[in-house]
Amino acid sequence: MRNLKIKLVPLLFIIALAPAFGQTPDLSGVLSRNSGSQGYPMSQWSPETLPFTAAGRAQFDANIPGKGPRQTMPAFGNDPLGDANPPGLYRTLVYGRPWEFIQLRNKVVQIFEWGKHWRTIWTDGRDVPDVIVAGPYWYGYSVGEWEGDTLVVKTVGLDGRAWLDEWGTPFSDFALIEERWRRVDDTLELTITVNDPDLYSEPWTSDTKVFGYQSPDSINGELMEQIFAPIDEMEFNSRIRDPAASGPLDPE
Amino acid sequence: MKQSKTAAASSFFSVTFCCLWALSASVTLAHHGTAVSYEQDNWITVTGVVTEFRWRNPHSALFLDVESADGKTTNYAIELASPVLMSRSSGWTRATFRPGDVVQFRVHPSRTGAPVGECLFNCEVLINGEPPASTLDSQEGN
Repeated sequence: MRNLKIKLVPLLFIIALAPAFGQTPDLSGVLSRNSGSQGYPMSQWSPETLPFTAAGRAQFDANIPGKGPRQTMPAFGNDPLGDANPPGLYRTLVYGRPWEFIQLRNKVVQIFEWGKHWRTIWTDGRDVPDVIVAGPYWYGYSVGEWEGDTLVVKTVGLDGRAWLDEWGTPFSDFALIEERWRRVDDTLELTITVNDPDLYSEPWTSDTKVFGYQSPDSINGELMEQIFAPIDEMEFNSRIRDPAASGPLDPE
Repeated sequence: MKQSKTAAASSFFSVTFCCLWALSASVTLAHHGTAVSYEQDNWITVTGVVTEFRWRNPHSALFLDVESADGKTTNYAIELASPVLMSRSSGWTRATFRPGDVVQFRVHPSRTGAPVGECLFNCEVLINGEPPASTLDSQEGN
């Protein structure tokens, strides 16, 4: 028995250090979360006051959302979503619709039900590029690497016409946003740190968003198609959105 | 569309103040932010005849011809959720409402008095006097 225990010790040691030897957590699956953050003052990403530069504050004020503390009737706002533009990466992440991680050997592919968009997180060791050849992109260009059990993702090349969330939080084309993804049992935790000197005087970090892995048999367990086509958006705006914000129709 | 008069379609915007309704979780899921256009703490019951059921993104919509007490007809629009959300939450399909159906629908009315209302989730609806069929009950697709 004593010899057996001696033999088992190295084995247990190796198992404990397995992540350090290339075995990374598997993030694959369909995930979803509640939107939450109703009580925040400025952004769905953070309970803190955001450190705007003058340009950042100006952009924030210029964005007129239909939701959140500064909400106004969408017919009188300028939400890019109202013209069937893509929501963009971070607005999609904070919104709460289901999405899926597909983890492969050299990349993690993230598929979003909302808009039926996707992005690739390259985990093949490449550097974050200095130049995004065909960008900017609504869903950015992402490179990830593992720090222990956490996937650290750096995203650049974003299209600053998108909003960071539903409340009109801005970012610029030159933002570098770091994401930290960590699996905890059947949940996945995310924080983002926004580095955007044009709009923010210092980097700021979000609170932790928690996504739940969805059972394949559950209501959110399978992604469906939800595409916002201009043909539908225009009809919705003219027949529903704008009339809802206008005066009574003249019965004559 | 010309519709026959029925007892169920005899009132114009029949108003039933059932209860005060605080902002529900459905507001957070209205991605286009149109919830602010409606009185979220107020409900009315709209009764009319279906002229069109628009089962489309970004939000589905139901259109009813509603007849007032003085015989005038107004086409009332009801904003619903997207097809994906309605199928998941209520089990509705593109066949749930058909032209000619007599519908009673509890909605948040427009803040401006326009003939537009909204109900995104957990809607109280009767179609020809019956609750709508749901795929969630049968666990079958449409």
